[in-house]
Amino acid sequence: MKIFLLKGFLAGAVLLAFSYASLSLVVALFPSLAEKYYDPIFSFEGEKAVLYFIHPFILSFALAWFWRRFKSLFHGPFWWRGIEMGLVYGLIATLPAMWITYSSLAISLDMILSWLIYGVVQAMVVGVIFAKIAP
Amino acid sequence: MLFFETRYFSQIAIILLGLFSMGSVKAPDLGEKKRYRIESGSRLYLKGTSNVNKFTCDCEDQYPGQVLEVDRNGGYARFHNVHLLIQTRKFDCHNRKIDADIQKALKADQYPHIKISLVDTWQNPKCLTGDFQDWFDVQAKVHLTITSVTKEHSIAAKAKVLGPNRFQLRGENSLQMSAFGINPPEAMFGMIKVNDWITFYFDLIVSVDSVQ
Repeated sequence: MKIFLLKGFLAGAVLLAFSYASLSLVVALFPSLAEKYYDPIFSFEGEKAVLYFIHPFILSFALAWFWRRFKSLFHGPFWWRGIEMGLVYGLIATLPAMWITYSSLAISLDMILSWLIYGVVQAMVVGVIFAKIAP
Repeated sequence: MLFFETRYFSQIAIILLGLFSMGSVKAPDLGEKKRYRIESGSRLYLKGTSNVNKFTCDCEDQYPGQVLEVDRNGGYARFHNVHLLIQTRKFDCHNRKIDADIQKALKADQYPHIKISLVDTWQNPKCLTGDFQDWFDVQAKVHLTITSVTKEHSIAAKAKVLGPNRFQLRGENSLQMSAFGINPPEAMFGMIKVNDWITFYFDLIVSVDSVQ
């Protein structure tokens, strides 16, 4: 249990930093994409803002459980096991979620693709951390 | 704030054009009254930038005729008790998020109006004759109050006489939001920031009527 909590909080903290860095990169490198976040459908302010910062820990603890349950299915060096877990997560969770989001909401394709890539890379980062500290 | 400034400058434009309607009067005119109206086809807007985009705020308000009183001496006119109150909730930046952020920055709940007090104006009196067909310069001084901060401001414009009772006025000017104690809007945890300087543009056609 102690290792589980350690993994969850460690990966969550890394994801939080990764999230902030990703947003900064989007603003710096893809201003037209960042501009789309200046829209009423996005709420980064008020009481809900704290939920955004909790999200990395929700994901890290969910993937910590997933890793503990299915890590025996991933083989090879630790970095490859982590990447593979990220790809599996992307295929099972992120891709269908982004598909239904794009099909039902007025969200642009480039924004959906950025979320898909972001979600997969997030899971890869967590996977590499878990494969390293809890092989 | 952007919208309000466009309205503000439109109101000022109305006042400025009052000068032209008086023709080439030699002696000082004290307390002369005129009614001014902005015609359809006029345009007021302003442009701002952020670190990711540019935006334009259009003023779509209607401008009822107004009666103003001025003391005029050649190319100089001084205005008395010309105070304009502009609602802080009427503007359209074509993005509800920007609209809401600007209203929040202006503290629209606490300060529902922006106050503009016209002080005086200058232009070359030779341009007021009906024979002058070219664009000429007009300079105005105003006191602008946004939230609780009042600043003196100069507005430069170009004017042209279109007919005996019609005028066109064009111009632009830049303002710094922070000079009025307004924090430029931000989004995405401050990663997207509206730049402090904004520029307003106006292109107005104004008709003039005498008031008995």
